[in-house]
Amino acid sequence: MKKLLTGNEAVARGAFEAGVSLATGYPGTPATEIIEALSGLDGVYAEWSANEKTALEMAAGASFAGKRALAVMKHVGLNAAADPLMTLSYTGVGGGLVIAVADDPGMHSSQNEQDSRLYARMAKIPLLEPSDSSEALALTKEAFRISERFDIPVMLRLTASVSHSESPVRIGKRIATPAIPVRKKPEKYVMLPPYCNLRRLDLEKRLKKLGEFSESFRFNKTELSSAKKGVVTSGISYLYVKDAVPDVSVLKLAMTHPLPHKLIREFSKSVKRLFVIEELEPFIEDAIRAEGIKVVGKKEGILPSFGELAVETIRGFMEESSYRPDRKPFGNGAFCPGCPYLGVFYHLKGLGSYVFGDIGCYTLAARLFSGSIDTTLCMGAGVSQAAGFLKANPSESAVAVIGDSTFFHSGIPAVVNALYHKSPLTLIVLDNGVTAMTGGQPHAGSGSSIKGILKALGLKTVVEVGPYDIRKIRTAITGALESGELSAIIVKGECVVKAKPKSMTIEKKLCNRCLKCLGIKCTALMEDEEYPSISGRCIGCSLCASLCPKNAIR
Amino acid sequence: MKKKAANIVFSGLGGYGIITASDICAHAALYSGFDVKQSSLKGIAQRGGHVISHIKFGSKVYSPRVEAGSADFVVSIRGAARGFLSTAGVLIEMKDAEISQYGKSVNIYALGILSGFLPFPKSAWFRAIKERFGVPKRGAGPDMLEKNIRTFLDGRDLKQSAAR
Repeated sequence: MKKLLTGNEAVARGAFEAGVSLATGYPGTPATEIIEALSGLDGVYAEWSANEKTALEMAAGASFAGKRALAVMKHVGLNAAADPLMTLSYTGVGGGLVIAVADDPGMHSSQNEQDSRLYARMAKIPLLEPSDSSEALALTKEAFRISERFDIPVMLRLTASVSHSESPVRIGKRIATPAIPVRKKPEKYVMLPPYCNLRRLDLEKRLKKLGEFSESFRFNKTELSSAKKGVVTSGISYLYVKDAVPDVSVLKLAMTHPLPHKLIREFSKSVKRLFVIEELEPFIEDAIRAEGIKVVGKKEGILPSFGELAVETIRGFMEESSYRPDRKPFGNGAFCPGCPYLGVFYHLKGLGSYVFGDIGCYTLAARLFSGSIDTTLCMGAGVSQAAGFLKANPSESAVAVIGDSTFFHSGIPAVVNALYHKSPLTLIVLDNGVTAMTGGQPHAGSGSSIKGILKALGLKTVVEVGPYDIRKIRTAITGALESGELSAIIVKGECVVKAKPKSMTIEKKLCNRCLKCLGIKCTALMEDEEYPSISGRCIGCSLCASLCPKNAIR
Repeated sequence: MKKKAANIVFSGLGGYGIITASDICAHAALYSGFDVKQSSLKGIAQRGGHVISHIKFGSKVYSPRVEAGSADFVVSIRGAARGFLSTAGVLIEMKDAEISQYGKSVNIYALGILSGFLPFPKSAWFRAIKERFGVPKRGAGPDMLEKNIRTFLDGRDLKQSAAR
């Protein structure tokens, strides 16, 4: 049966058909839908873990138990999971262990565009790169087989365009999970120096075998034509190449670590001029250069090592013209009308404090309210940055703003640290009980009392406020800033992404056109002609009404 | 003559069902025996702003993305992505009157108009629409399905009378 699946759904389907027992992950665009597609399926335990490190360690535990396991994350999530990853290649696996990582070239929904393939080289694990859904399904199944055959975790690397584009796949049956007995084997699984040194040597042997396997891996495909030019490519770039220059010879690599060096050399001999086309880092290109093979790629400065590639970029590159693509800043994304956090940032913009933000949709406030967020770095960074800032600059005041999902992901250690080292920062937790930006998934702290946790850690002042009482929010923030010690405000409000419209109106008779209401920057408010007006996207939160001196908004 | 391969861009403001319309169209292509690819934006790029989705169908489709200036059709509801339209391309843009007449179903109406230009049999469209609206667990049901089929046919008829 043929079905239209996204790359992410195809990975989930592939894992399901491969008999996966456990799937873990932390939501993050563009990887989110893999765990969503696996939850609720028979025979699969799927969870949103507290963070990616936890997710990968859960998967490692299931693999030790002899079961097939999948850990899913976006590229920056792999940074959090890098610690277990670097040593998992030493221990190897019990049941097949696959790490699906989705990169975001062009940063549609991320803070950087790191190339995760470099992790595969550093961790010394095999790396597979599908280019569409049908391949995503097939390579996921293949990844589990490779993992078990070579006793090693396998990285399946996607990019946003592969994860989110839909194409037809053939649906197959789920196989029974191979029964691998649980074995107590400290020399394999306890990585203390005598053992890890032996495993390190063993890893070299496994990598050598994988290198040979890569040469004959059936998903590495050579498509020869009569043209003089040849392209080595992988992932989504293969599809762009086929559209841009349909007549050239192509070596499409599905396994890009370890690389099939003999196959590449053979291909290079069959063409006059060899090009390498890949998104982000010159990962394949550098390895080919290191073999002493002449190639044209990113070093020549035409093909960019940033952003997504496009058909026209590739065409220009292959014609070896001086064409250079423009990089347009990505301008999308706005606060939802009635977002419960608008009020917080409305106040933060004018307080004169430094505000250390975190990862979440509320980061958009940096563009909306000038001065309301001064930094955003990575998950959990805001609290520690605020504390560090205050140690270096004690005469200023600092606010750390963090969402609840991020708080549980990696914010708690930062709070513990700030408290122990007596940092007088003001902590604002935006608590909607879900991971909102990726679609409202529950997280490992959903339902827990953040107030209770902060109190138990030792914070004296923890104030809970509602999202739409703009005066109380202001009082709470100024109170915390004046307290001279680490105090917290929890702003509790439900995410409105699925809220039903409930329109309010502005009575022209009462409105004096002071336009104070527009200050809340709600996207349901419009400045039409003379009077402000409210669009059908309004959810009736009445934040704007609380700013109206004439009581004209009802 | 109806094309055997085409690039389509759906574009508009969030909340108007752009992705739903695109999704139905992609399935109609699949059920008509074409190779098809569809891509749309997710994550923070999706928040409260502009929504865009690309479809390519034909006997064999490689890249899932429609290049600027290469769309045969742009379907838009409040926010046209004209930059995608090829010189001979067709812009199907919903007017304010149509948006207020069809409300939440304006996406299906636009899809009906588009269907008149595409080589997919009616049965393929109906199957795709049924799968989207005929499933009770998605908050839809027989009423919803019937209403959407009617709206779809309204659009399809409009295209046919315009062609005459």
